[in-house]
Amino acid sequence: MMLAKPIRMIFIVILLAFLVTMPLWASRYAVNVGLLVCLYVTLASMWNLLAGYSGMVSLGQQMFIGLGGYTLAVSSMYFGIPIYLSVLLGGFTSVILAVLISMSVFRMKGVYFAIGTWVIAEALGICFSNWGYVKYGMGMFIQPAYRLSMSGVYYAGLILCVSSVALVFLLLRSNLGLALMAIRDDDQASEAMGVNIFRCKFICFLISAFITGLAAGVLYLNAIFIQPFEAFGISWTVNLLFIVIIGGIGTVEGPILGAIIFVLLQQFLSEYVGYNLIIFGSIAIGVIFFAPKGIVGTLQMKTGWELFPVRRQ
Amino acid sequence: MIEYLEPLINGILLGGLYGVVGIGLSMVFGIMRQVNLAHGELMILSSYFSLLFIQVLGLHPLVTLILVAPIMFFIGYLIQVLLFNRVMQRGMEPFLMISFGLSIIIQNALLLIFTPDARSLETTMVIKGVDVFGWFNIPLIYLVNFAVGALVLTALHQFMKRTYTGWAINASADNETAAKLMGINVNKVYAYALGIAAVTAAISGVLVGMSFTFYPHSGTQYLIIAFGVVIIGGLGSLPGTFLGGLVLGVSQLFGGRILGPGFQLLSGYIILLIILTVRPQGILGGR
Amino acid sequence: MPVLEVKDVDAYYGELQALFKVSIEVDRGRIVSVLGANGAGKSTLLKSISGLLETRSGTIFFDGKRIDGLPPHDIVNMGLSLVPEGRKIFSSLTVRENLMIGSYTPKARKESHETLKGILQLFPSLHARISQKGTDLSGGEQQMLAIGRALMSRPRFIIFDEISLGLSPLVVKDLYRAVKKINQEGMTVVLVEQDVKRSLKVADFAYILQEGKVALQGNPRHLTEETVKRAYFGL
Repeated sequence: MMLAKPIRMIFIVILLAFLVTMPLWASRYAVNVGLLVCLYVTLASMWNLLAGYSGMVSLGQQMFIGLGGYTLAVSSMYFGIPIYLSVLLGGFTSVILAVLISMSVFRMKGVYFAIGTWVIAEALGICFSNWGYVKYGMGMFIQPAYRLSMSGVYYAGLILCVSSVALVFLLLRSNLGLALMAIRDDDQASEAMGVNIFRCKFICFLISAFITGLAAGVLYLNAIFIQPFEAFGISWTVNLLFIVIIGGIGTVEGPILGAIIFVLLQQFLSEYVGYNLIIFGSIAIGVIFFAPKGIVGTLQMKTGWELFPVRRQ
Repeated sequence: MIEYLEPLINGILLGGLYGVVGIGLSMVFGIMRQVNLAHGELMILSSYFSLLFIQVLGLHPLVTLILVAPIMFFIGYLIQVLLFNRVMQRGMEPFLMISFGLSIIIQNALLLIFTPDARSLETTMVIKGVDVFGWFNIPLIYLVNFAVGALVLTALHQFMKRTYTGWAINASADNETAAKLMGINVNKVYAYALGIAAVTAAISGVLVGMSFTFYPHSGTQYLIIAFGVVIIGGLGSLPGTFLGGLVLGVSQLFGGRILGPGFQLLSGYIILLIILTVRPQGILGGR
Repeated sequence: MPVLEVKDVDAYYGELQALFKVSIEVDRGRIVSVLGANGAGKSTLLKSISGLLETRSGTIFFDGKRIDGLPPHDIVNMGLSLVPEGRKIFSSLTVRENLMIGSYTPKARKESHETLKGILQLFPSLHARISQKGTDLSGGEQQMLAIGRALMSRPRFIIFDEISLGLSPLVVKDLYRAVKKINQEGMTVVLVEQDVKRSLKVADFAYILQEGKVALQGNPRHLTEETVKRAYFGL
């Protein structure tokens, strides 16, 4: 039973109105939290596109976060490129990186792909921390970002978030999406039917790289400071894994719910420094045991509810 | 020419240690087809246990292994029984996530208890060295690492080849169904396997603690080394893991010599990526 | 009392029902054939008996003790052994190690060397290949190895699942000779086969499954080819 179309539309409209008007009535702190949620939704949706729908579990998405962030820093600081254009550039350099490594990475299957992507991210981290141009491990301040207003950055994040969710939704309803789900269900059968697996996965890989790079740009617009080990660090993937597993892998709504829970938990637990991560770890393990499809996945299984239905009826 | 001899020899010796670091991961990877992201933390946990016993009982680091090894076997066994056995059949992601959750818990528990200060297991073996014809110095600890490494790998190889439990572990990895039909309790076998993996983690943890400084977060870097070793050497091959360790150790030190100390890890990563691309089953891999 | 009693067993693969109230009995020391076309439920029945598949209703008694719901390793410990379809030889183990792992259970371990000698007498061609990798053997030799391996657990009851599959008639003849010898020494045997003729020649009793149900049962001497064919194909 899917929510009836008009109800769904109203729900989405109300939600959007809430989000769009936030800077007008909410505190600066709340808007910041909202921005973080938007960015994590974007990042998680892209991770989910790869892992949940294309069957590519990547432990190295942080390579695009780091690259996108540094592109922003370098192009706005050294080349004086307008700040939002620099964000866009971050997306493009990420795609270029994705194309370059695809030669190597697409030959790796399953867990090897996971490790390979992780190692590439680590390698990039080392390169950047040894590179004088970007000030080694000390990191860079992104000066032009000081002047930006909180609302400006927030709207950038919101637009990105809404577009990426919409993109994933439309993608999955398109022929590409049909192909992806066929591949996910049965690799060999779909290949026999003429689905070009490589092309499908490649396109998804590029899309996720692009959007992740953009999100990184907005992220560092907000953070204003970038450091190599943090930017290319595995913690990004840890957090995305957490979000997607809790929300529900292979669903469109999963990353959204997961991101909200994650950011709120993060804020709530920031007071219990030291214990907070232990609690995170325990929650993650608990979810795997008791609700392996994540909250959204389990709900979908039990009630057939879908906010963004992608299966054809 | 001679200046390349030092990184070569030290690389080989370091490689022996790396072999032991990797063997625990290789067992879990090769036998249960799962990736244990908490392997590095099991190592560092052992280092901290050793630290405790040194401080409280005044033992030499290597001697603490008598206590640390059984404790870690027990911990590994429990982890498999309580956590991992529940999700063995569910594909890659749940196991990844549980082991990651576990690694986060261990890392932060260590952080809380022991603070982020750098630690090491004090031993004069780091300072004492062997002079090679007056050209360069080999730290004694490197020789000890290599010797212990070779010993552990040989012992484990013999265990897997000659004992019922060893055969049972191999059989379960080859074909779980047939193994059950032999009267093998496969879940128990997996628990033994993780216990053994934890013991090798304990040994490598103590050796690592003696050779280098460690922090609560050091587990991650050794996890990557373990991956490197296993992938380069080949899945499911004990001699392969040893070989993988040697290749990684030599690449690291050579790379560090040629490109600079900051690029030591990077050189290892590059070799790893090449193998992943060109021959993912590793040099001696088969299964 | 029959040594194996399967009563009204239902078995499912997920939501798909594969066995419908199947009942069979095997008397001590006999050879019983279970026949049927592909998908008739033979494998499912064996998996249920050996504990590899949980049954949803019905009971299975072995030697008076209830075994449905027990894990496979407990059932092997009780003396019931299965030679699985497709042989499933362990690829990391040599011929010798494959046989030795067959005596994993505590009872079998004590006498493993005696048992091993006996098996090498039964299958002399294994002796020559004793140190080779298990999967390097020919199809027929692998089947002998699989049978030998099952015998190493010193069972009282053996189930053979499609041992003639993919093998030449000459090799199958040798295998069946071994099966008869094993039975003559007191072993209760269940033979699951697609080779109807050969199986009926050695069996004391036969069951024919069709679409998850017992379609026909009886002493092979009293069953005509016509009735067998009809039951087999569900005509």
